[in-house]
Amino acid sequence: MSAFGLGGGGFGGRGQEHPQLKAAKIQAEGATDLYNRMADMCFEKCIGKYQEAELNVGEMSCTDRCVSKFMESYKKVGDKLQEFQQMEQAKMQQTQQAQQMMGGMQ
Amino acid sequence: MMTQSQDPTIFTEACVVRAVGSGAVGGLMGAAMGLVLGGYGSIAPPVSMPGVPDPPKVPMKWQLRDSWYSTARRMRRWGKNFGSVTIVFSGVECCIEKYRAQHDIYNGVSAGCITGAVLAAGQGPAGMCIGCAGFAAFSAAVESIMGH
Repeated sequence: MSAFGLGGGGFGGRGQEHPQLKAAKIQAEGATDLYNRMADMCFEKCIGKYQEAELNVGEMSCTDRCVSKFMESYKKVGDKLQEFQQMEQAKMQQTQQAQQMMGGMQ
Repeated sequence: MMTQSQDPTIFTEACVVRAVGSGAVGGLMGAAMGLVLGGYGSIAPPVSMPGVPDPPKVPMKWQLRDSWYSTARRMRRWGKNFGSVTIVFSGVECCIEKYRAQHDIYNGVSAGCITGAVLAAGQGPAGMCIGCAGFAAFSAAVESIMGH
């Protein structure tokens, strides 16, 4: 990542990356990390024996269910996190308003 | 040297297709066994015994045709029996394994119990229990021999 920044600085004279490019890179990294983690976990949980090279029916359905559950739980965690952040933001706004009122009264 | 793994096709994934395929192979095997093991009473030439008048001579072509017809009937019967048993067993085992999402010996044992019970359906609950136990034991033996 630092090499990109240095290269950009050397070539175009810009010290900073374009913010959209940075966001796209972060998103791509996140997606790759999600896929790698999910693939490792589902392989570890579902595939036990190595007597034959093809997946048998049980392993196939196990992998399907593993991917589905992982994505669902990932989405649910994201939703809960968003809820939590909204609650925190609402609380901060409330405390700010209270402080302003106190400041106004004094 | 790495073994080539194939992408899952409909023949390895869908339970109905697997059951029908296994049933076809089982039917062929049953026909082969009917051909070989059927018993030769119906196709053996009559034995001449003292005191019994000889049966009328039948032309060789007719004898061959009759024995072929009886053999074909036997092959068809054995093939149908084997094929139906194999279809039921394979379909039930595939569904159980898909539901459990595990590949071990208990899929075959449960499928064997159900198949045995279905085969012995005409003999009342006691017969169905015995059929279940027998076929489950047979299936467990075959699966452990085949390396599970």
